[in-house]
Amino acid sequence: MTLLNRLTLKNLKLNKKRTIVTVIGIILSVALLTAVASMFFSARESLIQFQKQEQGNYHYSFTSVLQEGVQELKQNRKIESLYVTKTLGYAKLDGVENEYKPYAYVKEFDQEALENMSITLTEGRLPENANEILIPTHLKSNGGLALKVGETITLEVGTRVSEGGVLNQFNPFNTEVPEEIVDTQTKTYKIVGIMERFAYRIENYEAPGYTFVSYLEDSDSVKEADVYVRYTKEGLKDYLRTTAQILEVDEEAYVALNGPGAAFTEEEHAEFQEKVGEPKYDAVANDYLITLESGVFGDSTLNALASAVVIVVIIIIVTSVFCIKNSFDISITEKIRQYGMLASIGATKKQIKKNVYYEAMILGALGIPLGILSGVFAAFVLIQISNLFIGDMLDFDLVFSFSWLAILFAVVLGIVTLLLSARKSANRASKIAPIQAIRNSGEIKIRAKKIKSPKWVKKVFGIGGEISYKNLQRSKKKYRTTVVSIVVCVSVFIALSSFVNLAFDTIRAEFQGTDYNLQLVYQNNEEIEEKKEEIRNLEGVKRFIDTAFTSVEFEADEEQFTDEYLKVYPKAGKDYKDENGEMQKYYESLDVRVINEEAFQEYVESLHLKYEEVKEKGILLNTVWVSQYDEEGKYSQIEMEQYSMKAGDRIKGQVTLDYDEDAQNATADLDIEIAKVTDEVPMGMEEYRASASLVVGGSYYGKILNSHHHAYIYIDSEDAGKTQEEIEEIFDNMSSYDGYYHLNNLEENARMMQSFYTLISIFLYGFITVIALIGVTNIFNTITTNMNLRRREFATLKSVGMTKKEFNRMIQLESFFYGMKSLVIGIPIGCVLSYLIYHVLAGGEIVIAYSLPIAAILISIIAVFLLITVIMKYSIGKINKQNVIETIRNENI
Amino acid sequence: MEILKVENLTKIYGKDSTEVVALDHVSFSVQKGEFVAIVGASGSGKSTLLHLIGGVDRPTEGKVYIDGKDIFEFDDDKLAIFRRRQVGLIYQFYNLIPILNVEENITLPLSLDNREVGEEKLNELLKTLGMESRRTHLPNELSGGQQQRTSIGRALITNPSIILADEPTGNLDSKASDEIVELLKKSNWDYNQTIIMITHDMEIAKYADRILKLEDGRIVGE
Repeated sequence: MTLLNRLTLKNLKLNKKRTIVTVIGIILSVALLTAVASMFFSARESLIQFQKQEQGNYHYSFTSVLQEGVQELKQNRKIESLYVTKTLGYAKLDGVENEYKPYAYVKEFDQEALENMSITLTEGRLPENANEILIPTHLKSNGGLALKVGETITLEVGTRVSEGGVLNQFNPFNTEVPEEIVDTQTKTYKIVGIMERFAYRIENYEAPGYTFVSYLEDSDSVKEADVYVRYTKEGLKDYLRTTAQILEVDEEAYVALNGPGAAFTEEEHAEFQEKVGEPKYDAVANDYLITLESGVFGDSTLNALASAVVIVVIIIIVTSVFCIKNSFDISITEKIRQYGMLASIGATKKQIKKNVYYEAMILGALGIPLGILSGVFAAFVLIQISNLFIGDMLDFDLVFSFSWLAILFAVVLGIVTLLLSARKSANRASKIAPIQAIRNSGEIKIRAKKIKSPKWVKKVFGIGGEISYKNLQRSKKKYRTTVVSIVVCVSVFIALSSFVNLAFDTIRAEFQGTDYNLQLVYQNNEEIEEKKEEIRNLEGVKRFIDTAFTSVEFEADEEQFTDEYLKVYPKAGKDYKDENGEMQKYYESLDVRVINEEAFQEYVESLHLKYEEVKEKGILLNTVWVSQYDEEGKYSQIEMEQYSMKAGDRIKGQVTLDYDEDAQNATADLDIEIAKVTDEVPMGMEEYRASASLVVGGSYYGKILNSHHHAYIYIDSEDAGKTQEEIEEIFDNMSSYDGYYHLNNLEENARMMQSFYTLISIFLYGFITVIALIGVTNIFNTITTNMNLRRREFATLKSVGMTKKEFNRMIQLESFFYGMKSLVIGIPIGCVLSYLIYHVLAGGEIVIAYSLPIAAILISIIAVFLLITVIMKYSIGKINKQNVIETIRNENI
Repeated sequence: MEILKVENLTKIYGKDSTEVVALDHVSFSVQKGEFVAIVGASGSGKSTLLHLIGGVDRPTEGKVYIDGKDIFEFDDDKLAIFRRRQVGLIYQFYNLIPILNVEENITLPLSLDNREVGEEKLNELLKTLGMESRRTHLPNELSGGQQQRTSIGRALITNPSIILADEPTGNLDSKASDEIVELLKKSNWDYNQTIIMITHDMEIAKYADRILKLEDGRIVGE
């Protein structure tokens, strides 16, 4: 080790505290980088796992490969593993209700294929011999054929042919063209398990056969097999060429034809097709898995994630460079005399530069490995936390993946960060002129004009206040780093916390705004009609309302609208000329909601009306929120009454009966009296409407709605989860129900959103905390060193008679001054950011009003002053312990 | 009138094997208006003596009376206040506060005491120091001699009982050195200011009324 390097080591040891703090800064920054990279690779690994689980763990499948070919593939060096499956053929299934899917498609899988081809058992076990078989779940749900584990089935398995051609799973069942199964053999199987339906690459949506899987006992004796292969890394790198080689086609043409980004005219396509020639087998790529596995940033999800990673990494590096640079700066300033001395005895610029980099290297050697360890650990913990919070939101579990690439990434970026940080200091150190350095005169360059303090400072705070105020101005550059660190942390913290609050407020507002927790969207039919009562009577259902929509058109004149409304919609109620110049009557369209009788009764009673009297009448919800843009284009919403109609008025018009297959656009007449005008809404109906609505009771079902209307059922249940399951069961058991239905569990939605946002806030707060900590290491180093550098000054002040109390007060004032300065800049920036976030996220919506993030501001103020006070106290303690004389003397040497 | 009395002053640094006796039972007294030089080789204990007299360090044994008061009876804060009123310190390296200008540095002890600065007195002092044209300069805009003159001004502003100068010329060339000693001598004459100056330069010491020679922590001659 050279003398210079030994000197550096000694200096690092001498300034142990600062070295440790700097190393902590490096650890934090490398840990963040590692965690970010590890999370990214873990996400990638999770997606790969998910794909393997969903689609199967293979890259290509080749169909109808002869035994000879199978052996060839086995020999292929670019193939990592291969699974052999054999197609036995189709067998007609008795009792299947789906007329387009009448067959069982029987396959035999070898052991590897069973393990790797994404078989998800819902019941039972995998087959262990050729007499055992797996059936898919959709045989029951889609085909209506319920077979149980343990039962035995006999299948007449054979080749499916039509008009002389052999058909496979890619030929849908066509009811028009007759087909048959020939060369059948009788097979008897014991059902040993039920599995989920295969992904579409294996069983496409139009496939005519349910895939049954049995066991392939001897893969070497199969004459013709379907083979699934995984390529080696080598083979995957250029997977199109690998495939072309296997298919024995023209490589260039195959790549051109199947490669990404190429746009062809039809002729060109045909030309390439011809050039490629006849492939040896039919090949199907498991392309998503290939993209995921072949490139790091192959797929769009990962690409989006990667851009987020890039932004985060830039933030980390900028913050870290900023902070770590500062500690190098400090170290160099302290050693300026030493470097000058070294230069004066003949150290070259290069040697001195090297020496600074050596220091960086030592710090890196300490910080980077520890940073990587903690980063990997943090990523591991974060993934567990993520699974805890959003495990049931994703279809798959996030898995932690230890990736050397991630570590390499962090190491490289860590080193880059360090080099960037050390570079300027190294240059500065090498440029130090010997004499200037020894006299240490280059460091303090101040002009009297620049240092001024207002008179009041001295008046209020005394000479101590003046000195501390001036000090801030003197070391502007040094304190700038501190102030900027604090400003960044404070403003980002305020912005983030208002983002998080806004997210949670939104959920709360959405959830609190509703008085139901289950929403069932469905299309009505006779069968559901019967089941409604069953749903109504489920245990735990407190309130139940069935709502259907339609609208009535009626002739209206201006007098029926309020003046306010006419101001916004001046055309309302006025007759107009059509394109042929003929006068047309103005027709007003009014929403009508039909709610079930029981709910209607409850509703009118809550409006203090007598049900018997208003049974046949309607309730007019007349309060509307009208959107409008003023002259400057500013958007606003005004609350107003739409109609000037009153209780007792009648609405006479026509209702269009949609969705009636027999009578398209048939209409029905409606003549109804308004029982009351109100703004109280029945359950499930939103309070904010853009147009008025008429609520009528169940007696109108048959009159203004046909039997296949679309409708919503809103339920307020004591146990939303349980009721949800029960309703789903009811629908599952309605085998002939051909309409759609959709069930929203609002509690569940809110809960999921809540956990999602909680997770996001953990990530965001975690991130800002670590960034803040990096900032703290910087602030700590700046303040303690500044204090240290001013030791002699302090000693002088004491020697001319400054008491301890006065001294402490002076230091406190100094911290107060620049704490204030940072906050005065940081808080407004944070508020502006938080308002921008609010504006972007909640723009235009009236649900939540903007509120200043007061809690975050208070937390920032307290945290900043606490932090600065603690660090100052620490440095003062050290200075106060020093003997005045010793200090003055030491410096004089 | 006796302004300073040093009795049996002893200072021992370190303990046991590393024990260094910097001052060994030194006793002497100084009359008001005297200009005393203390000379001695480095390590003879002269700086220690000065710092003890200035009350910035505490002795192992012995007493220092300034104006009849035992200064080590005071606690640290009282001592600090006593120091800013009664003692003026001048250092080899000036030890000015870099962010305060000449005028502010000079008036610092008064400011610490929250006392008003007499404009007349300040002007007179600046004139004496020859620093009138530099009153708003910062220390790093001054030459070494000018900085030292500023620190003398700082020592004089409070009309202290005693001025202690620690190698005030140690860092200056001979011309500047002469100017500084002349200045000290002048203040000694004009204000009847008591001055104790440490130096290893016999030429400089000759300006003093009285020379104390220190060797191995003891006074070996006058």
